[in-house]
Amino acid sequence: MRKAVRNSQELAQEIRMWQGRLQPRLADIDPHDLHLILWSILRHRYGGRYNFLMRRQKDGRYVL
Amino acid sequence: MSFSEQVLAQILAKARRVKLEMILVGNAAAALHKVPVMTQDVDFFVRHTPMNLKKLRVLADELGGMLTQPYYPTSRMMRVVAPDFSVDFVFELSSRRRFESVRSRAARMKIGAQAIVVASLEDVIAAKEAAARPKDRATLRILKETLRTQKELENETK
Repeated sequence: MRKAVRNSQELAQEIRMWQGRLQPRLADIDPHDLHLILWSILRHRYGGRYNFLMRRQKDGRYVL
Repeated sequence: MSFSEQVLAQILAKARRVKLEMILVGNAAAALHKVPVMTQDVDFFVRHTPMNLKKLRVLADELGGMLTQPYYPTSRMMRVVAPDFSVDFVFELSSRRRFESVRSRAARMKIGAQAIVVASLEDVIAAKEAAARPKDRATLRILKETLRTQKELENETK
């Protein structure tokens, strides 16, 4: 659990660092979108899994 | 492994058994290129040959799915439908890029113990631009923005 929290903190710091460096050059990308993109690119370095396939449940809800 | 990885690994293992050569395309390919997108199905690009059609029938059986051809006889794809997932096998891309051409630019990755060939993000974008369906246009922006961000990151870390 402690490792997971540490990973999350380090990931958040790395995203913040890259956003600071790249946002001026990617000014036309919405800052929230760039944050999401950076999270999606960087999270695998911190143990993130590929999770893209949605399943439709019997009640009509979609879950990953 | 996540559910997505389990499904992919299962398809890859069975496809390897029947020796079907295929390239992951579409949003699943984009997701493996770390684009923040989701999808309901998995799309593979395969050559349209009589042998591959036989292999697809065997693969559908192995996956416990049903092989169908939506919009028969006009559609250029086959779909394996199973309760937990559906897999499309397309015989041509909207971009008209050839199998060999897409394969030459594709990335080789691993899902668990299974090897997978994933179309380049540039090829995924080209196919979606050419298809130009509303669902393709909806994701084009995030695909292009992720590609630009990846290139900037690569330049910075060189």
